Amino acid sequence: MDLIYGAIVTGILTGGVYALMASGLTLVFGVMDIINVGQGALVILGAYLAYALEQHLHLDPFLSLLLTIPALFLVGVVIEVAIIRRLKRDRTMLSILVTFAVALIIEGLLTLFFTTNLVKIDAWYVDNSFPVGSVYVAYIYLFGFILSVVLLAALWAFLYRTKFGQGIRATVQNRTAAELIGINVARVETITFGIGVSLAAAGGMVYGAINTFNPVSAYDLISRLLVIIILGGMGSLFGALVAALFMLIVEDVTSVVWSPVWATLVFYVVLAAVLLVRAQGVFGKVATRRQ
Amino acid sequence: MSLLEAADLAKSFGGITGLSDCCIRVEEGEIAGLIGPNGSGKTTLFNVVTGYERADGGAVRMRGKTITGASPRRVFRLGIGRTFQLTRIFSRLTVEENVHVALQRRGFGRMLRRWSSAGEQARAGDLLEFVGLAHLRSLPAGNLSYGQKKLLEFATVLAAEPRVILLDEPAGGVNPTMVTFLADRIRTLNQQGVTFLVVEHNMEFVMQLCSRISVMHRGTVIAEGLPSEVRNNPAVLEAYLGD
Amino acid sequence: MRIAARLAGLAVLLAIAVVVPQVINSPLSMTMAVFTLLFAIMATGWNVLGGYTGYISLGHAAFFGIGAYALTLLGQHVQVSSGYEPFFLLPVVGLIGAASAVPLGIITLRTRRHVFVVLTIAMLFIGQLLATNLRDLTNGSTGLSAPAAPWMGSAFNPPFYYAALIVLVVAVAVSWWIRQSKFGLGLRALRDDEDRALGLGINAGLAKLVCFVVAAFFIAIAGGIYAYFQTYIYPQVVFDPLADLAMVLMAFTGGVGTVSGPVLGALLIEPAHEYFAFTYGGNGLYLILYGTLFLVVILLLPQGVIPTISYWLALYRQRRQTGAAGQIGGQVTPAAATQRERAGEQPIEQPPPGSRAANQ
Repeated sequence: MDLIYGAIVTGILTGGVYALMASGLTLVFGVMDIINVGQGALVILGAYLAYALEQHLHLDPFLSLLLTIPALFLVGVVIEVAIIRRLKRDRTMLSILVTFAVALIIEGLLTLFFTTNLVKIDAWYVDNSFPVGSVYVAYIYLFGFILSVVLLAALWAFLYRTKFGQGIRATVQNRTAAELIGINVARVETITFGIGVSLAAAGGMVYGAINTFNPVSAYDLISRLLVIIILGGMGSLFGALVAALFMLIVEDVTSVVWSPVWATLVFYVVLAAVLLVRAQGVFGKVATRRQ
Repeated sequence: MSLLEAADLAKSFGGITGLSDCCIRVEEGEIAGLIGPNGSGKTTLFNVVTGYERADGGAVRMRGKTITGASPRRVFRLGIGRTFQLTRIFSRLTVEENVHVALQRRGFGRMLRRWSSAGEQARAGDLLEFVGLAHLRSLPAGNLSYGQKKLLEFATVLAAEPRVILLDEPAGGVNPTMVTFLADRIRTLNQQGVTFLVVEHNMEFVMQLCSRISVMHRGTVIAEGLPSEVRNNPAVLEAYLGD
Repeated sequence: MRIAARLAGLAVLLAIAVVVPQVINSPLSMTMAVFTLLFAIMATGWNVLGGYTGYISLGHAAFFGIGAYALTLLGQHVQVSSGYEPFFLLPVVGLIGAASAVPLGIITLRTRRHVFVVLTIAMLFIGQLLATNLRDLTNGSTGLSAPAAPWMGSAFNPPFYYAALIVLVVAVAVSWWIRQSKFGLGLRALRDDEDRALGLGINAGLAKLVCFVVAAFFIAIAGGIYAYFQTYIYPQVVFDPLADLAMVLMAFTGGVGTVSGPVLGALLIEPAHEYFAFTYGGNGLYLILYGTLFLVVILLLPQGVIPTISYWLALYRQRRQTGAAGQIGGQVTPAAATQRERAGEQPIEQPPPGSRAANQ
């Protein structure tokens, strides 16, 4: 029972981190109608950057965020301008293929520089833990969760309290109308994409501290993130948050109750079950028949 | 018993009422008209009747048999055809392929044969002749002008030999010659026994073509009768000119 | 006349294909040829779903894995004497793939096109997961030993080549048949506007499922041939996202939605693929090159080679026609004017390269 309790706690804490990574993904979909299948690879890129900075400059991973977040923001901007912008018709479908290609390139670059050896980010809070009931949970889970909460709150504030954020929300609602009232939709898209990727940097750092990883980890990660945003309803930030928490709790509990191996499978089983009942996800909008 | 009948249909979108106690009937063999100011619910009515939207209440009946909530596919199979306000054709298929899509074939084995049999070619040819597009048969439908696309959509609807056709603004955005041509085609078909329900804003078109007109306002039918009656009905004038 | 020319061309191609193993001596090249054929089968199968209906599956390689394991497990009960016995298992392997595709198709096809894509990615992943973890069945990541063929040395490759060639011919035939049938017309309609197609009586749900299953059938058979060819299979190799992407890339390069496009794509891409893998192998350069190639193809040639070529041909023919008409008496005849107007205002058959015509 204590184990389950501990699993729920880690589930919530890691759920927060996954929510952070997934929020970037779902926001980009909401604004641009594209699915960035490369988000997993970008998270791993963020993880490797934090890892490299920690290994060579002995920079604390949380501090390194000051460097990695802007760096990945730039990476996102470059990808959007150089590649995504060039997609004219049928953007959604092509964006999937194109970002998949980008993911491959990133994976290749990482393999080239870091090889496929499994690594993990090291820090005092990774090795030390605090008690929750009779189970011990590493500090990184807590810190990572706090980071996610802070960043998600910042994102929320940005979206709902700033003028630019208003522009983003307007574009999500109705792109054409937003353009008509003078919002620079192209800039909104570029910046949103950049934000989505920079959130990956933050999530990546925590991911890399919690799990051992190598470039191949990107596949597993993107599968989960996609499941989360589909479950939550694509484009819904709140949905992504709820889905992330739910799925991670379910997974961690399954891992403890049944086995870690089947825990991953449970992810997909839940997805299949939900989709059979509600094809648009829990918070998604129904694709109404075009009349 | 009317060929097609909608009784007390209700439909709302969030807080907005689309249809409310909406009743309309279409008798066999007539060309019925449906008019009303913008937002009165005409297209919503069409959508509910043809299965693209689900009604919150009320019933749709065909020859007395209830068909409320039938899917668009089933509605089609029942012999109800419809066109759309924003013309929908398959732009990457050729004109004649578009018509062929609507030509029905029975049986699994037939589906595996070549997409166009001699009989179907002939029939498609006839339909395209009827709407005046025969000379464009091999062109991709996406290349047609707006008016030609409307005609193509019309031909496609006819291909399935429906009993009743619902036309959603057939004369919208189309030049006067085309409008006359369309009216003529509708009359010809009607003489051959096809029933029509036409939604239109073009008053002249409706008044000349339709034998009976219903007027909608704010989701419900406020008047119904001969063109001359409706034209002078104060409630109708109020709906169009008032609020 | 054109039909006769086309058939003659096909006959020539087939003759060349049949003769290839007699001419090529190096086992390396023969292996590459076998792989090319396998990918051609996969791309052709995939195209029946992705090209004809517009539902892009990025996970159909899962059926390759299912086929590989199916053949391996079935092969354990088969006496291999002449070496040809396992080939007779292939139809069964295909059916197993098809059967597993039915429930998967039912679940995934209910969603909108882009959610569908994402779900198929998950499908591939689940396949790999199951293969790695159902140890009692699949022996996990240690891999499984497939039946071993008795042929030695340079006699090893040709039977696999011919088996794959036969399957490819069947796959192309099925693909062609579907395309020119009434069923195929319905598919193209639903690709353009699924709701409108529904409204015209087309059973879109069933049609999509059939394509999903047909694709799985052929891809599974390719997996079966592969398993017998390699004599040993691993989960991460037969459920490989890269092979999956390669299959899709080939169909796109050659021309999504055409019959011969996927085969052409395989012929173009697979040798390059093998070369990259061989030269750069395990390190990241291989992935980088692959990803870049994919990017280039999608961004610059989104229609694929064959439709782009036919577009240019049509444009060329059109220009010649309007040019001639314009010269008649220096006057612009009405017919020529509308033709020119059309050429100017809208593309001939397909939108110009650099843009995609497919709907969501």
